[in-house]
Amino acid sequence: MLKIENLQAKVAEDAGDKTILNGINLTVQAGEVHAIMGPNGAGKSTLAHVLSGKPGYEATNGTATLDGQNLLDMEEPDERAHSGLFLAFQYPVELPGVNAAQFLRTALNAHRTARGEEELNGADFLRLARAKMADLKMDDAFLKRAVNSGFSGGEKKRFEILQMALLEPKLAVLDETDSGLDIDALKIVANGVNAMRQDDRGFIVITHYQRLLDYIQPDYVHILANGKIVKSGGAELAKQLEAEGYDKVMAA
Amino acid sequence: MTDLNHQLTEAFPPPATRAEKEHWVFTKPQTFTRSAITQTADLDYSNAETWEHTLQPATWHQGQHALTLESNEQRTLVEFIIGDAPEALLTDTLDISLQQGSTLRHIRLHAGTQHQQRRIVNVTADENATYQQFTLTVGGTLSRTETLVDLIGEKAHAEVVSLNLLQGEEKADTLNHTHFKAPSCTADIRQRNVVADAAHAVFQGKFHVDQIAQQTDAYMLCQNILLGEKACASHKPELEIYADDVKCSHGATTGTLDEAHLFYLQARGIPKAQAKQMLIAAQVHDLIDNLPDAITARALALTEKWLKGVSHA
Repeated sequence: MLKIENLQAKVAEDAGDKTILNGINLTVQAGEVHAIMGPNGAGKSTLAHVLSGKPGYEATNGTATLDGQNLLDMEEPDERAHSGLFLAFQYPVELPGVNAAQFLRTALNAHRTARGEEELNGADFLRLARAKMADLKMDDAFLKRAVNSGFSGGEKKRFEILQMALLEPKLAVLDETDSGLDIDALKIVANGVNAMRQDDRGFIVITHYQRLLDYIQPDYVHILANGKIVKSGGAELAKQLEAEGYDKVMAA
Repeated sequence: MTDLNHQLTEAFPPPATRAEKEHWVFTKPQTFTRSAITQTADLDYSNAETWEHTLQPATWHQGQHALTLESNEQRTLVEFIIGDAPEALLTDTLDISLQQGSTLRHIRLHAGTQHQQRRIVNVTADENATYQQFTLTVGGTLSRTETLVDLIGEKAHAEVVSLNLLQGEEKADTLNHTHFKAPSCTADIRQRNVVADAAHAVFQGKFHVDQIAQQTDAYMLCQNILLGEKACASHKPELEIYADDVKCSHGATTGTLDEAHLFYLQARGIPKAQAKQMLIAAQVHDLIDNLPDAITARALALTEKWLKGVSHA
């Protein structure tokens, strides 16, 4: 499904370009959940940004192919989204004046148009959105609010998962989705992700802490340090990290 | 600025010379008195006084209006000034007197192209009185809007929110002058300009705080969103303060659409051009969504055409 080969990337900064990724190799098969853990500054979020095409992040070498299409060849972030990639943001931006229902429907219809399908009308969209919101224990009133505007940390993350549920991506990258969540919100978000696990969908779960992985069981765990994957293993690797810390596990 | 002032003088010569021309229309001077306005205790638009005026091409519309609110009255005044009227000129003055404890919510929607307008609002607010203005200006070759507020009684409050949507070579010039003449008065002045093509938005705001006006709390903000290479915004905040226990501040931002916002929409599959349009529309909706429902609908209808046609390359 997703195959990342020798991915190198730099970030444009005021002080000049800074290389963050130093040759990442990672293959995610359909149906798998891969967790990427690592200390601060390891390049975890940069990986998410480079894949999704955030301005200022530039891949300097390597490929990242999703079902045979190289994401890095695509000019605009919306093309990458249409090819089946979804990024759940660590810090979703607030968009005062952009109505949530209109935003969700526009995004969904942009995907449908790209697939050559007919657009959903207002009534059908609302029916679909309400059903997905009920799964995430979200009030209908969300639809009338402005996107993320004045949302609590937990509401923002649930809104991200709602977008994922509506857009039904092939591959979802969750960037520190657990940050800023209390335990109840964490469970709701994790349940939302688990409900979407299926044979033809892959996940990359980026997290700093093992806690999220108690609720979203990964098939593989990778440790990222200095822009490279330095160790890979099964779910037990995350537990070992929690018990022993990054320094000890990476030295072993 | 000098250039714009010059153009304003050209555009608005003394009436005597203009009156000689044919086809000038004088709107009947109107006095909004107590009996002329329906009581609206809850500031509900459905009972509001409404004044609608459609501009005709090549005419001069001139008006002088006055409005007095008695103690503790609460009213809404809604004005619609509409018209694609080449060479039309609108000049009018509105004098508002707010007695103790009264509240006026004043909404003005002004839309059209190819005409010029100059509007002056003079407000006097006594103790505990509140003046709230919302002005939407869509288009117009040259607009000048002055709001001059005197806060003469303790704890009087003024709120002036203006939204200008400009394109082509349109110019809009907004002047807000708030004079604090009594203690513990407050003011909140907010201006947003969305400027496309080679249009030019000008904002001047001034707080004048007399020595007696201790504990004044006042803020002004001017936000400019420039959508064209040649789009221009000028803003000048002024503070003239003679009291020593006051809070007066001002802020201004000028920029294009936020790149992080654009990325968020594109990451959800929304193509760039459409995403930009959504973000420009958001600048408008953010302000007009807080108006009474019936007004919001009217304001959205006025801005929709502008938003569809605006260039954001």
